[in-house]
This record gives sequence, C-alpha cells and structure tokens, in this order.
Amino acid sequence: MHQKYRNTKAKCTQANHRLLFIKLWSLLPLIFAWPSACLNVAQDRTELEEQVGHAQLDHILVDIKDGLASVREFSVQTHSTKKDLFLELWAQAPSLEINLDIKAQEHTEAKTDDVVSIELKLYNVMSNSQVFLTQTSSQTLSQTEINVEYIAPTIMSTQLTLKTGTYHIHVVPPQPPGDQSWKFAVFADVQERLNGVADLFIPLGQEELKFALISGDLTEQGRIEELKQFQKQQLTYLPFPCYATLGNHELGTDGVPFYHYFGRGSFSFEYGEARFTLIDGASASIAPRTQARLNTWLDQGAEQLHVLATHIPLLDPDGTRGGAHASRLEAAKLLNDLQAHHLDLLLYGHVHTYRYFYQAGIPTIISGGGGSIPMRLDGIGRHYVVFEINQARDGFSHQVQRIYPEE
Amino acid sequence: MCSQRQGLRIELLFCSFLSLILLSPTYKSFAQVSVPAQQQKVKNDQPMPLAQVNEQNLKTQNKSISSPSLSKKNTKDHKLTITTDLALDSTTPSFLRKTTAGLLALSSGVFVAGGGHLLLDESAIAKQLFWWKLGGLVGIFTGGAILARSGASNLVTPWATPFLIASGASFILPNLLDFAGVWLSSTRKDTQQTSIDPSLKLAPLMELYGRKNLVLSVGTRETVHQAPLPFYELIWSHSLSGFAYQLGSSWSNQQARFRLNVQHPLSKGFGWRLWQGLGLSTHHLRQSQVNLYQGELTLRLALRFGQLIHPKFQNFSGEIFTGWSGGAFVYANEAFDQISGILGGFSMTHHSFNDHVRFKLNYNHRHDDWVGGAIVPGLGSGVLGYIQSRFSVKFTSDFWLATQASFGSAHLYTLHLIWIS
Repeated sequence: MHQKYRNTKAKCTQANHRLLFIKLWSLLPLIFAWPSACLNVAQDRTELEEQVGHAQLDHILVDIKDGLASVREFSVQTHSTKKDLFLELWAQAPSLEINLDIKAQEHTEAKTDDVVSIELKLYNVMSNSQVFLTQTSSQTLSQTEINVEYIAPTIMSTQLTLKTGTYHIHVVPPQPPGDQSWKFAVFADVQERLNGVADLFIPLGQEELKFALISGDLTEQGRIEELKQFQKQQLTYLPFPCYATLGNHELGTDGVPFYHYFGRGSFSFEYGEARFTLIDGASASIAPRTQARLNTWLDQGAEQLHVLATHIPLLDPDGTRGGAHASRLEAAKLLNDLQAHHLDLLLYGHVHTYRYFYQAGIPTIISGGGGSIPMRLDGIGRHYVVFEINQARDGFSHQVQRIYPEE
Repeated sequence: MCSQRQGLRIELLFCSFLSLILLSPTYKSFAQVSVPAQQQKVKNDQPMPLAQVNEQNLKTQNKSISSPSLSKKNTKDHKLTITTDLALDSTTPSFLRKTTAGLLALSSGVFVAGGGHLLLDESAIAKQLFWWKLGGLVGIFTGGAILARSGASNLVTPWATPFLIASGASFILPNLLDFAGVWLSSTRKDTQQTSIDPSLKLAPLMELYGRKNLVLSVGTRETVHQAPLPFYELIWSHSLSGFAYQLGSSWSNQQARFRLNVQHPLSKGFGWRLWQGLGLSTHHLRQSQVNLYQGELTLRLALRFGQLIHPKFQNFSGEIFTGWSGGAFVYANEAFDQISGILGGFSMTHHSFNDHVRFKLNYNHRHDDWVGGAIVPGLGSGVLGYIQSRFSVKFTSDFWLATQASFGSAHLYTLHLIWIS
C-alpha cells in the first residue's frame, strides 16, 4: 500500500515537473516575441515627426506650414534693458511659409510689450531668396518685402518688429529660368566618415547646383554632436542647401535628435517645376501616417516631374544581400502604386555603391557612396550623383562623380 | 526611459557580470553548498580509487557511447569532479539549483553556452555546448567581418549570409539546449522513460506528423497597414520512398499563394540527415495586381540532439536550413523585376508526453512570404527574418491540433487541424 502510494506520489511529482517544464517553455516565445512584437516602430516615430515645425513661447505661436522647417530655437534674449525674441529655423525645402500668431498679453501693466521684436535666423536656405511678410487682420491684407542679411550663402538673418496679430512670412527662392536646365545632386551614407566629409563637400560645392538631397545615414549613430558637426561642415563648404531624410543610423539615439536639427524625415516640396518627395523608410517599412501623406504627394506630383528619395531600397536589386524593406510583398505593392502615379525617379541610399536600374519600370538609382565602408569589387567607391533636369521639365540626365583619392 | 540600444547595453553588461560571477571559481563552493548533506558525505567519505570510480560512474551514467563524458579522457583527470558527477547522477539537483543553472544558461548566452550544465557538474555536456556555441560565435564574427569588409558586396553575400545563418543557429541553439537540459535528469532511468527520438527518415516538410498529412488552417494576419484579417490554408504532404512532396495553398481576400515543394535525402550520419529541397511558388496580391513567381533550392539538416549531444536530449529535435531563391515580381503595368534571395533559418522542437505534445521555435530568414522580415526597434535595416512558435497536441492517432504564432513585419496567429496517416 505504502509502496503504491509512493509510486503514485512520484508519478505526480514527475508530472508536475513536466508541467512546469512546459510552462517554462511556453514563456520562451514571449521572450523572443518581445523585440519583434512592435509593428509600429515607424508609426510611433511619426508622432515625434509631426511635432516638427511648431513652437510656442508665452503668447506667441510659431507654425511652419507642412512642417518644412525645424524650430531649433525660440527663446527670449535680453539685450541691456530690451527683451528680444530669437527664432532659429533649419529649412527642409526651398519655399517656406512661417506663420506667427502674436496674441495680446493678458497683463496690462506693460503696454510696450504689444510690440514684439523678433530676430529671425534661417539656416539651409537658397541664396538670394526673398522674404515677404504678410499681415492678416480682419479688414486688411498687407504684404511687404523684408530686408535680409546673408551671413553665409545659406544662412539668412533679419529683424522683425511686430504688433499683436497674425503674420505669414514667405521665403521665396529664386527659380531657374524656364528656358534652361538646372541641376541638383544626391548622396547618402556618410556615417563614420563624418570627419572626412569635406572630401565629398569640396567637389560637391563646386558644382552649379540648386540643392542636394541626402537619402539618409548622415551620421553613424544620429547623436547630437554628430548632427551638429555635419551641419557645421555643410554650412562651411556648400553654397547651396541640402534636404535630408533620415537613415537607419539616425535611429541610434533615443528621441531621434535628427528631427530637431534637420526636421521631418518625410516631406515634399516643389521647385523648378518638379516635385521632390523624401520618405522616412529607415525602419525598412513605411508608417501608415507617412503612407497617407505619400498618397497625397503622389497625387500632387502625378502631372509633373516627380522624384522620390528614401533610405532603404524598397527591393534590393541584389536580393541575396537583403538590404531592402522587411516585407518584399508590401514593397512590391508600394512600387506598383508609385508607377501607377507616374513617378519619374526613385533614389535610394543604404547600399554603399552606385546602381542604375529600373524598378516597376521606374528609373532607380542607389547611391550610398558618402564615405562609409564602400562596397568592394564594384569599381565605384565614394561618389555623389548630379542630375540635370531638362528645359522641358519632363526628363533628366545624371552623372556619377567619384571622389578621389579613393580608399 | 532608456532607448532600445541602451537597454541592450545594460542587458549585455548584466549578462556579462552574471556570467563572470557564476563562472568564476565561486560556483564550486555554491555547488557544494547546494548538494544535499548525504551526497556531501558520499563525496567526502568515499575516496575510491580512480578505476573504481570510473566503474561506478559507468554504472550510474547512461551507457550511450555518444556521450563524451564516458570517455577515458574526461574521467581520468580529477577525482573530485568524478565523485561529484557520481553524487549528482544518483539524485536530482534541487529546484533552486536547477533554477540558478537555468538562469545561468540564459544569461551567459551572449558569449558562452554550457554554464547551466557546468553548474550542475555535467561538465561533459557543458563542454559540447560550449564548443558548439564558440563555433557559432566565431562563425558570426568571421562571416560578419567578411560581409562588413566587403561592404556587403553582391559577390560575397550569397555565401556569407547562409554561413551567418548557420552560425546564428550555432550561436542560439546551444543556449536553448543548455537552458532546457538543466531541467532534465541525465540518469538512464529517466531518459528511457521519456525517450522519443523522432525518426530521421521523415522529410522535414512532413513536420514529423506522419507519412501523409492534410493540414487545414485558419488564421489572422495583421500588419501595420492592415487590421487583423482572416486567411485560410490547405496543405497536402506525402512521403514516398526516399522523397516527399507538398502542395500548399493559402488565401485571404487580399492575397493568395500556391506552392509545390519536394524534398529528397542527400546524406546521413549519427543523429543527423541532410535533405535537399526544390520549390516553386506563386503569390498574388489581389488589390495591386502584383504577382510573384519564384523557385527555390534548399538544404536542410535535420538534427537529433539525443544522439548528437547526450541521451537526455532525446526529446529534442532540430533543423538548420539554408537556400537560395530566384524569381520575378510582375506588376500591373506588366513591368517586372527579377529578384533573388537567401533562405535559411533554424528550429528546435521539444517532444513531450510520449510525443503527444510538441513545442517548436523557429527562426526563418524569408522576407517574401505572408510574414516578412522582422521590424525591430533600433535595427532599421530589415535584415532579420521572422520568428515563429508552434504548439501541437495529438488528439487521436489520426489527428493533431496545432497553434502557431509568427512575428515579422506581419503578425500571424494560426490554428491547424492536421490529419495524418
């Protein structure tokens, strides 16, 4: 009897151990699933992105239309007895509309505060851009051109004295003559060669370009000091602005400081009768919010020359490398949408080489020769690509400029 | 709140420290403390001659010739170690000790494997796991360095990527076995009771269910762009003499997939069998009218850890596979893009209750099926594939029921009803 009891008890204990074992096993998928469980990596980032271009200081609201500039500083600066406001922006497009809403202060004791003095400093703008100030009131609409001072080819500064009201500041770039072709460039993947980026910027700065597009991976980890260093060198060597989207390397720092120093990762603008759209594809996928905006921009650009730049290729032409979006099926679906909207040019970074090919019938270029470890055995090395849009604004040619000395 | 990268660093530091502490000589004193008093007495009061100890050890240990712990080389070195092995084989380690060993097995997984078994004084198994893991680590560093130095050249990636996947398998599987093994007794009695040792003759595509399988599945698929949507699957697999074929179809109101796979054995050894596979598939996206036509070649290594490492792992089977795929996307405007890809991955299955219950963990490097590669915070390149877990229960001799969860750029939850013959 005792023996039987002992046997039964032993079997129960063994069964309990097995059940415990199964329970432990069933916990494993949770551990493994945790890192990949988040589908909304890019979508979560767009919430940060949508904050770009908006700021408030006391009774003054700043709002940049479509978030096409980052408000890097909006503060009060005291000069002796006078208080001035300082507004510093980094532009992500040639044309900007800055909306200022100056509300009346509730404190009546300082009536002189009804007049606000603002020092506006704009970085990354096209040389010779004009700035117009429009005041909207209930009865009148007045527009005046503002005198601006260029501290450097792409940095402008001006002083504004404004009363309570709503203002629109328009930055209007000089357009290329209608009977002439014009040029822009693209590069990406500077990464760890940030200290040697002057090798790239010096020849690039000598090109007659209107602007350059950067399709991601400007830095190694997207740290603040890296972003500052990039911008410092850009402002030193390039006489034209650069408009950048972020790459996977810019996601290496918490909070994505890229948004503060450069601006949004997904945006679209028109220049020279062409549309340029940059998309944040740094997480190897497109966020639904970004997709919704992209659909609008694709509709807007359907009847004009439309160029789209993103960091990670939708499909890698060398699929064994896999440097592409996480889901090939969704990437193919997006490519199908792009060709249905008559996209004219696709630009990628991420892969450290140069490739010219077609995807879904769309001319596509991979250019990732900004300085990071170059692909071997491809005969390319460090480079940037210059595009020339023709007079009719319906086509383009391009040229690869290799950077010497090579690695 | 810390970022993913910071979290990873903290985790790495934590694991490294824990590994250092537990792998340092202090673990010996811990082991001695946790051995019951009676065993301590056996260890201290019976200083048997080495030959006698070996004989005793052979009697108490499993007699399987595959276990290196029985080789003379391992048993002639230290009297103390052998005596401890004897003590542990005759009794079961305490729950606390197993838990500690399990934690060590997982926490030391960044760099080493076998820590859990070392803590339980099963040094022979620990050594095998350690060397397997080290091989994986060296493979990852070597493959990674070659890949990075070449700038991910298209001449290097077709070979370096499969090598990295196989190295990844050797990096992860030893730690899983280490973790699982600490809960299993290494005595012969127990391993005989729970011995499963699934056949190596069944092609991997049969999923060890039977020679004829019909799988009916229903599941949901969710992506960041799409709310959960039902899909259905029908798969017929048949094992003939020497090879097996599979016909499968999956469909939802957004996409449909049809595939044909054939597998044939190439080579075999003690505890492993190599299979070659050929596959053809089509994938149709209804809304965008995009079609994918693809062919693939795979090599699958079926593993039986009970034979390869120690009989205590007879309830574990595994797979490491790699392959190449090629085909084309055809778009609505009839433009097409040629595509190629690396296939690969690894899996481990635990068979329990006399193989009536199974749990399978699977990493798959595919980026072109319904799941797609993982979107991992902080890792933006889209290089990683997806993971999958599967829990199967045998209801009758003819029917299995399985649940499966897949996590990649889409999340899939599937229920399978499997008829076998």
